[in-house]
Amino acid sequence: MKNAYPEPQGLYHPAFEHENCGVGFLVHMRNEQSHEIVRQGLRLLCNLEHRGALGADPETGDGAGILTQIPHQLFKEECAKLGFELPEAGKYGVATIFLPQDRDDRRHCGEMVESTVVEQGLRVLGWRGVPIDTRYVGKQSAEAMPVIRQLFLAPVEPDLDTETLERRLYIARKQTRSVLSDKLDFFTTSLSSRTIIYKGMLTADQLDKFYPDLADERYTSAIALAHTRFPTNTFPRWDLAQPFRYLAHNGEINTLRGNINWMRARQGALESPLYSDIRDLMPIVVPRGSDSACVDNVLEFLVQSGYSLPHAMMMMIPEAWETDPHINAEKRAFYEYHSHLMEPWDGPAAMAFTDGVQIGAILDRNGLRPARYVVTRDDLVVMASEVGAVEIPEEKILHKGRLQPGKIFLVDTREGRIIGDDELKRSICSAKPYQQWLNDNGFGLQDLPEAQDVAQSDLSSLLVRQKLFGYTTEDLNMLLTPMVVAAEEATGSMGNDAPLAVLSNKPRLLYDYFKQIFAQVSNPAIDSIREELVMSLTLRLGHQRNILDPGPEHAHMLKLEHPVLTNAQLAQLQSIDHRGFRSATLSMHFQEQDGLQPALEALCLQAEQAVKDGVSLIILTDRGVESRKLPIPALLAVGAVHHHLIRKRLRQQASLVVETAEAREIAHFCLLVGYGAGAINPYLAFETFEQMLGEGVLPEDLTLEKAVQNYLKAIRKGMFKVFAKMGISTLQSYNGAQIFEAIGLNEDVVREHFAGTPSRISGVGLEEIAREVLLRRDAAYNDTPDLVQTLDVGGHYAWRRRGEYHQINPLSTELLQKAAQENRPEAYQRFSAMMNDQAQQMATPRGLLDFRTDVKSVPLSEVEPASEVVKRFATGAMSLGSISQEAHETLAVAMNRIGARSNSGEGGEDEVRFHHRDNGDWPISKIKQVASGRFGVTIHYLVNSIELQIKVAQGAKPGEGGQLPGKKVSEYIAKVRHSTPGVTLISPPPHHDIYSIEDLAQLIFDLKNSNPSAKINVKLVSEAGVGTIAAGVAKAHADIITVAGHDGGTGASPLTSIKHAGVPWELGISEAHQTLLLNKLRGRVRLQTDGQLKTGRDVMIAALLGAEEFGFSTAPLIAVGCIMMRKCHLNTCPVGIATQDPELRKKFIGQPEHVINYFFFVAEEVRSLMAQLGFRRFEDMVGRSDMLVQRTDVTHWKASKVDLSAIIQKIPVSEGDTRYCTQLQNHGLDRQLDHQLLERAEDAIEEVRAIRIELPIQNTHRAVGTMLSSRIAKRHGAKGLPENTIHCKFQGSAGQSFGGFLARGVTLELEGDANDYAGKGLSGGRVVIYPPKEAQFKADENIIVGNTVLYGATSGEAFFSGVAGERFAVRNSGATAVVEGVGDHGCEYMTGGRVLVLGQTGRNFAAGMSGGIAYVFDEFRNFAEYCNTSMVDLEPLSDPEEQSWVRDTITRHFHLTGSKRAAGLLEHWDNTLKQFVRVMPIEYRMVLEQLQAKAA
Amino acid sequence: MGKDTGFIEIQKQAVPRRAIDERVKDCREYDKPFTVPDIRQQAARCMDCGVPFCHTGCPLGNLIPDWNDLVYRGHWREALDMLHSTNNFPEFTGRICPAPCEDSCVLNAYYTLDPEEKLRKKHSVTIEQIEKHIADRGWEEGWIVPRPPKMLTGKKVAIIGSGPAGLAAAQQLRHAGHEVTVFEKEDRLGGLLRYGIPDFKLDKLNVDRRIDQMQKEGVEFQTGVEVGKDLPLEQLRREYDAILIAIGAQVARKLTSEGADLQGVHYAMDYLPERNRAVAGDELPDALDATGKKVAILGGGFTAADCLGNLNRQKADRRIHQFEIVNMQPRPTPVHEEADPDCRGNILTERLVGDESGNVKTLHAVRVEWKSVDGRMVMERVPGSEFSVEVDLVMLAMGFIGPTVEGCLEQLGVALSVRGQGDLKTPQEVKTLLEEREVIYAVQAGKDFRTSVDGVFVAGDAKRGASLVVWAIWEGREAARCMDEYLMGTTALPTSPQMEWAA
Repeated sequence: MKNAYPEPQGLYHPAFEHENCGVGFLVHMRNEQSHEIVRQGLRLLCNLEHRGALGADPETGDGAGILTQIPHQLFKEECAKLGFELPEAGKYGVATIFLPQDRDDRRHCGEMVESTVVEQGLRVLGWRGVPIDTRYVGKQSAEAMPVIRQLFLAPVEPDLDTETLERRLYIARKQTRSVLSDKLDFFTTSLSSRTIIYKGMLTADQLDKFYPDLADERYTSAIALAHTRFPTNTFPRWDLAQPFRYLAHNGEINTLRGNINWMRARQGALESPLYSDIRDLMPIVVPRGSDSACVDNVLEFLVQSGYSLPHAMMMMIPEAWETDPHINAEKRAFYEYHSHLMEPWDGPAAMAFTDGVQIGAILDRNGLRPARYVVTRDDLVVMASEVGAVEIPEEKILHKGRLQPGKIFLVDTREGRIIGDDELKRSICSAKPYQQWLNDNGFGLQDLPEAQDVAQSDLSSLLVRQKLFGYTTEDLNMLLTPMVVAAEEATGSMGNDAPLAVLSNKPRLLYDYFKQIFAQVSNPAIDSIREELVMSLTLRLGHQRNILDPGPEHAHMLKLEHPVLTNAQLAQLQSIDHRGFRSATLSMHFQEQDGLQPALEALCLQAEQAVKDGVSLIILTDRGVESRKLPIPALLAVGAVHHHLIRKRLRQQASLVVETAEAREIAHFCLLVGYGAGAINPYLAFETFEQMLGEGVLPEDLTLEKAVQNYLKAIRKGMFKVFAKMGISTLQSYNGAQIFEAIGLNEDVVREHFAGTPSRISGVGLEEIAREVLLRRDAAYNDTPDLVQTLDVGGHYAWRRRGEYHQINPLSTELLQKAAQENRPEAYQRFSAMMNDQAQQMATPRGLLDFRTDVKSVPLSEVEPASEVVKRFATGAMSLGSISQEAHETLAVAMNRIGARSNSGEGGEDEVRFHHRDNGDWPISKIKQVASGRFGVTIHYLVNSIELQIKVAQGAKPGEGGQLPGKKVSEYIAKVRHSTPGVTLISPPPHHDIYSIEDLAQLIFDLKNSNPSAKINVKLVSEAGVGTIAAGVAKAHADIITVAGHDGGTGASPLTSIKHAGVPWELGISEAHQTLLLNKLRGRVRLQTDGQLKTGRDVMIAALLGAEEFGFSTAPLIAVGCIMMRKCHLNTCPVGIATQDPELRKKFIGQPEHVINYFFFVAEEVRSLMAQLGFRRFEDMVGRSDMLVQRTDVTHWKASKVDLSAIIQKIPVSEGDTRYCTQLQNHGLDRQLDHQLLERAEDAIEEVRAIRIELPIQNTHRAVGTMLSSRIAKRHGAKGLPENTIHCKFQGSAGQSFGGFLARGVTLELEGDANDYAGKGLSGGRVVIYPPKEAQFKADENIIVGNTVLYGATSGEAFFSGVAGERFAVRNSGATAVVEGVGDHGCEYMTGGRVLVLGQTGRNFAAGMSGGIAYVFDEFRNFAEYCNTSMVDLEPLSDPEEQSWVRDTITRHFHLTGSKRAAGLLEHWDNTLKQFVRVMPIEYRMVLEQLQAKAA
Repeated sequence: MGKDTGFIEIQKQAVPRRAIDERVKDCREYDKPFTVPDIRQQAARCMDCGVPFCHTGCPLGNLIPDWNDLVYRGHWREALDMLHSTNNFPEFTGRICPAPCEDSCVLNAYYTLDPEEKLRKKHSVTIEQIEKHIADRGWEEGWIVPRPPKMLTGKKVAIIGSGPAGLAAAQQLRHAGHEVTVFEKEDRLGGLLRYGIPDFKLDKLNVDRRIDQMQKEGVEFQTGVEVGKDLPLEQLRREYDAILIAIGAQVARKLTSEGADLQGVHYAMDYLPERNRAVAGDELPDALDATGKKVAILGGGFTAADCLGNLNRQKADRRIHQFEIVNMQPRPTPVHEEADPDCRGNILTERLVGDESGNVKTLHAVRVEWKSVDGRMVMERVPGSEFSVEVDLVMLAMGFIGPTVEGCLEQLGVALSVRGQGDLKTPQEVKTLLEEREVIYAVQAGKDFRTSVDGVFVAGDAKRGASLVVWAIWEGREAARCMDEYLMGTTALPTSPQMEWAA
């Protein structure tokens, strides 16, 4: 087995790999073993195949596998043939081992294994070569294929109990791993007396052909756990196929880095009587595993060490117990207690787990993965990512359900039954007196005596200290003021055009060298505002003890509600002595002459000694600075101590607290916590508030206490937002998780103090970091009177003459406008020279690059014309709403005139613009964006495009949704967006239909169906690992991948996000290009980049790094008059661009010619550079990074340390691949059920004639009705067909996106059930789903449709006789829906339409709902507890007109679905009526009232 | 910052001025202060631009949006500190600056679409008035106090000239801890601030109290000492570690037309100081009396306008002619409202004709047009457009060609640059050249303000040619920084580097 990812090369690093997948299991509850279970398990896998992926080689799957009980009969007979006898079932263990292909290596491994197991009291019964059929394996896969053997082992004592045997086998396996730790191609897939795994780099349908064992009738099991993998890479790793020994995982662990570090730290304290030497098991987490493999390692360790399987799962993946009021006290105590033992492994996860006796599944607290199950009358339980994966006759079905967020579903084959979540958890939670332990031992700040020596403010030295720690007037005015006054983080607009910290001439804080990493595609960001109930900032400080021996003393830790401490609280900690819980305070200071290194070393040693002395809390402080006693940057000190203690295995025994003057903005707190600090006291910020209050610069009624409170609140919200960006919910998991990328720090600094942080651009070391402190010191202690009175101006957020450099400044703006508006080439040349002349100002990495000069040039006349070059240009996604109609249409007209493309942004588009104007101009946006808000995304919108862009992330605020302030939502904007005028529009942070890569593949598929001729573009943002994501996206069949830089613009975004998230496109595009080449996928996709592209040189560098298309936003906006006011979010743009104010819009002076002039200038510059480098055709230079060199003439004290060799490394092109896009993606639309529908409905559409079609359906039929709708929209426009013209009746389980973007005039009637995303983007059609007539179960108690149903629906109707999953009707803006129960987050972000829920809802109903009305039948009078009432009022249904509408609608529901629920409600209508709750958005009511007043 | 919608809701308010018939009766300042609520309202109009063009428009790089916001919110003292961090003398620039900041204010340059309105700065923020208000408030409240250096360096610096450049440099160098001596050839300090700019624009109290502050900070002033004449350069170089030339550009452009030497033809820079002295109370028996005279002013700049204001206050004939040769109207200033002048651009004075006694009597002029020939603007007479006016007095305010060469520059031997000529000249060469024809020249220095002579620096008009006070202050500040660096190896004085402007 060539068992390896490529080595790290260029910007690719194997650590960035991700995977998503399909998972499912079958179990016979009474443990009846049969081959049928295995067969069905494999069948299930095949039906989830679309959730897996294929790499460049279509025969090579990304991994599939199955875990079953040991097929004793088969083995017994086969082993007998081999000449050895097996003991009775359960009395022996089987290992399936992947062995090296090399014979000698293999022999060596075999010998080592045999000798190792013997030491563990096992004897070798014999080896069996596992039969394989190599005809059924892909080429790439075959190259990496291991030799697969099984080893049969028995305990020396024949009657050894199973638990001990299992543990012995476990130890043996760990031992063989460690003795063969250098053999990467040795891997034991499983070694157990209960379970066995067959897996490989195979597709689902290859699995049983490759392993004939699986097809053997003698192969029986009562359990089959199957998994198909969709990783981002295609590098063959047979060992990473799933299931692992105990689990199969659909999802991703976001906090992995931290979890691994903490696990490593925890190893120091482990002890257990079960092991003779627990160090045999180290490392618990095996290096180079995937996230799922790591979870499996830890789960297995916990289970082997005495925890029950569900108990261990509850420890690792707890529910959202902190804030959920529905959690009972006992369970809360359990979770709270266990939070002293372990931090959550946080991230989207549907995990199926088994030990061969019990089998179950757990869903993460957010419920971000689908998991549906069916229980049959003959004791079969099927659970899978999708319903319908195993066909079961309806009459056999007892119950259909879904796994809910945070819940466990468990089948115990020994007890022969399902153990419900409640029962299971009750028994686990009551096993120990957790509450008592907590009560007796846990303590908080309120339990400590009030501190005597609280540090006092010293306003006389404040200014000097502010300067020493780099405070600027911007910090006070722009960042801190909104925090203390309004408890809000500051908002800004437009992109970041200031230099990276390492390229800046100014001394920058160490924080600025780190960029936040965020979730994109492979896992979703979390909505920290609307879904706050899953978020928690609680943390426990102190000594974490041996997790294998839980006892009351484990709870003896200090509980903090949030990580920011007031001075008084810090003083409490400094003097703490709570039953031996003590703290030590260490100074973070260094001397100028010594530099940082000795000071850091000393600090680490002091910390080590303190821990050894039994201190539970280490407080690092930078108080007491003087001109010669300088502060060590707090982040550096924290990173250094944290990693030093991890290395010393002492980290678990004490927590870190930082008392620092440095930290003030949200990004600082996140970094300190992310690198290990448990709490922070930002004392200088507090003193600054005091001074601001004293000076009266803050509102008069604000007290210091209130200011501090507001500040803490703002930090809290801001931190939530930052870790939600990465899909992390709790501070405990974020703590130490290092979700950052370093830019511009050298290897030594990163390795020593920030170990494990991705860092691809090397740069400054401790010397330069110290120099930055010294420069601040010089400014602070400067005695000349001029600047003594004032802080530095900063100039980071707005240009200031003596502040930080900005690419867009008065001069460059004036030049660009002169060039574009007056068509003056000389002005453009000066502009471009100014941007390109990076001799002095290196704002971007490309400033450090240069073109090679030793190449032969070609005559300019031979280079392709500018009119061709401009076709590669696009304007960026700026929504109508963020910019004015005038500006939006000017850009569109300009781009259409030159054959380039403009982008609608996420604001819908007025239909008028789909048609040409009288003068021939076409104001259409050829690129239509599909973002998480889905504003105006109708089938008509989709068909009127040539490119559809899925905005996964945006450079200015990756991991967050867009926001359009209410003052910009004019009537026109509201109309186009299907929303309410004046009401702020916030798009959800994630697309609720993209929680994983297979979901993205599904959305791509849906959109392709909606407009088969459109290219599908997926927009990502540069960050470490974006290349791997891009590979996944390429495999998900995107046609174009945009990799945006971090510096792109925005109409409104938190300043933290603009400044601190994402990295430059130079890194991103290059990493994407390199990784795609390594995966042989480059030729399948076009690559686009954007982010402060301004000149031909920028385009050239991007092209040489791998881009084929180029997005521009800021520059064309400047061409039409933008002057970078950065006031877009205030609606006060004085040049009529980023405003909806009718008066201001009159100020718009832009003309399409301005844009065209500009783009031709850029194209001509490109041409001259192409000529210089000897390229005639554009595509010839794509990816030719060998034409770039890093400049050697840089003398800048920081920039000269930068190393860009990884960016310009050239990756060879593999056979069959190309350096630019040459192939079309195969979207697989030819197999669509819609072809049959279209065939039959063709004439009906043409002639507008009614027709009825009946067909069976199954879960592999996805996006049914979408292509049909596409045809209707093309033929009949937005109005579609008359109601019910095309009526399709289906029977079975429909696949995902059933009725997606369904056009008006189409009815899809389904007898059966449907999966996720049914009715997505419903565009006027009708979807009706009800259970089969023969079904025995009660419809209103069973799941009929999956998650995220009716997401972004704009009009139409849906009737579901049954219960829907989570996130029903999110972002509905006009559809009417009836459903008999919904999961969590129903009607979230709804802006229009009507939803009737005839049963119970999950938690957080109506969060962020600003329009439309929901009616909920509140049978148990507890709906209020489940509703998020921050934006809605709950009221009775009293209006007679509305009452009759509701009644009529329920009556229709009854007629259409035959719903018994509806019948029941109608029967007792008077009673029913009283129990209806009307959910009315407050703002919506106001607008409706205004409209009524207007009408009257 | 500011008020988000201030610029939409609040109109620009005109500067309050004293009534015309009242103000022409005296020489006190014609501008009145805004009321505090009014000026705060005006400050609220500032949009706090992401790219504030105003503070590139301002040669000093004043942090305009920042202090506008502070004024809007009533934080005068902080505004004053911030203002002082870029400008030593905001009370000067707040009064006499033509306010290029307001030209480049986004409300003027971008928000205003009508070119006419742009020209009149109809919508810009009243930046200059806000600046003045901040400074005046500072004096009133007693916030502006001497700030002597905490540490002395022991280095000695001589500054030649006490105009705005010399004063700004002196204060900065003193703040850096050097021993500073300013030499002024006149009897009073201030250079053009004192003897160029009329009192009705800048009350001399402003100059006096600044000089008082500087004296208390430890700057030494010597008046009546003309370096190079009263004090040999040799001695200065011996006694000081560095020297700054800040002598201005006082050599006026001459009238070459026939009759230029008639009686009644005067140079503005003879007339204006005389008027200022008179206002200051000096006895001046031979002073020019313009009462009732018919006057023509040649020149359209600020100097010409200053003459106009003075002549009007001396009750010259109300119909004063003002002719500018280039294609522009004489710059309108408030003094133009006070009289009814005949202001015209594109007028060439062809000859002056005198009466028997040699007194100027008639001015003969012709209209001209400017055409571009080979990239150069060339003047052409318009045939038939000749005209004449009767005059008793002709005031020449046609600009300046360079610093006085005799004395200081000559003795130092610093290299001079002559416009239109590539190589540098010695003072002697320039003198010879000037005997042949009129050339425009200046002391040569680069970004580091160093002249060709080690340890000798130059700033202000002497370096850049006749220009605005605001430029002089910037020059003085930046030169001081370069000198500090020269003396100490490093400098902590603030800088505000210029951004190269588009042509």
